Amino acid sequence: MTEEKTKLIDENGIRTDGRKSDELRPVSIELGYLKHADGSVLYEQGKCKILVAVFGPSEVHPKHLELPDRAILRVRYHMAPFSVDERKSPAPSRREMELSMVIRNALEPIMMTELFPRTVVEVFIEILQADGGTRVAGLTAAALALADAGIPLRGIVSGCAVGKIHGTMVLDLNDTEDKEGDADMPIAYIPTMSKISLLQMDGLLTREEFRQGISMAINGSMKLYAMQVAALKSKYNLPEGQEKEETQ
Amino acid sequence: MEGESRGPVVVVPGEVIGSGNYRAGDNAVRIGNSVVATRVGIRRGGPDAVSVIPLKGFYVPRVGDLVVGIVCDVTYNMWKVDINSPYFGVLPATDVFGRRFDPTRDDPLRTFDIGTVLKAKIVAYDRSQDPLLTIREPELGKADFGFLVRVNPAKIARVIGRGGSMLSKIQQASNSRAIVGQNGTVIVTTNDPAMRDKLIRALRLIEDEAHTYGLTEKVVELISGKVEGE
Repeated sequence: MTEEKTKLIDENGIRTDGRKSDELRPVSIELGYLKHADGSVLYEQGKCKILVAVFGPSEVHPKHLELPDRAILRVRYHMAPFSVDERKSPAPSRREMELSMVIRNALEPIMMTELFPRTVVEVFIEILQADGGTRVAGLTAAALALADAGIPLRGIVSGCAVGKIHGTMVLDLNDTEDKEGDADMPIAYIPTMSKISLLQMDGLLTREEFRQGISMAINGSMKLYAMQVAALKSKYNLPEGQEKEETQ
Repeated sequence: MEGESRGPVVVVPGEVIGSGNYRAGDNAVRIGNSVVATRVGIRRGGPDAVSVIPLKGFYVPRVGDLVVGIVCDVTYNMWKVDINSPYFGVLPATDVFGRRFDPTRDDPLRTFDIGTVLKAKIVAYDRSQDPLLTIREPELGKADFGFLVRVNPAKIARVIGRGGSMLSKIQQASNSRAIVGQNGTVIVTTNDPAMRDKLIRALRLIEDEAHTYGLTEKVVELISGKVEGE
């Protein structure tokens, strides 16, 4: 028996959710969402809802893990039991542990850990609702929460996935496209340093498709970066007329 | 340079705030030929350096700072003091007793128990060792009166104001006394419970609107009775 594949993209290049191939899902950013965390954000990208909280720098426990020359970064990526179709066990899975490590590695290039040795910075990424691309969305949100916590950073990292569905390269895959598509490649990019800090791939791409994918992902990340910057600046927006006051 | 003549500019980490011969000041770092901001804050350009005044942050100890801390651990020869920073302050027993410390005669727990609020000064600190505190100066030592308010350490400069202007206006208007620790902990002493609430709100107002103008007037207005939002 063969199962008929869902048509993920039509002849006009329009995807199931009405987006074009190089279009991001709508993004909403709410900084300082949690009262008790040092930095926090509620980040939504399409149907993905992610809550990130940052604590620190603070004393390291257990003590033997502290480093004499730099801070350590602890990242926990966790999916809520209600974030997916079928209840997910709340215990950390193998996938979550791997993604926590991958996100930590992607955040490390922007962290200035040498400024506060013997301390720890903790990042908690809680996926409240998943709809594909949660690792890069979590990473984008984590960078925002770190900046919101006032932790010194060399730049801001933004990430989005590219993939191939029915032979077409598309940007920012949702869950259906991720599962039923031909390939999926999450990429994180640091625009101010022009560096890629995360690159993974699942599926098969030709060299040409890979190159095209990279450039699409960088373009997507640049758009996300602009939204991140706007959100950070608007949190401390000066009331109307104040900028004029000092110009005079 | 771009942005030089405009008003306060909010910058984000990674944003270029100067290029060429500028030196990277506080909260800025040189990457290649540019100076970039490392925190969300207001860009401040000087004649040779460019820096960022952070809008949020944590307290990094500095030698000479007055801090308000809470004793969180007592050992036989020192007190460990929570100074609202990634590092704990260390107050050695010799500093308090002023002589060679004798564990058979001196009981550190009796002098300052856990939970005691201390006004102290940082005498030594580098990132490889915890900040060393002293209370051997007038006005320092145990704080017996008042209540504690925690303000984000990045906003402390605004609570004090230029040359202490904000602080003295608050004290005058409220007829109270405030000791401001650089670590973001403030001890306020007042006999009037209604004034206590107003002072807490005034400090929260400074914290929320630290980067705006006309704040001193707003704070004085709040304290002297014309309370907003009531």
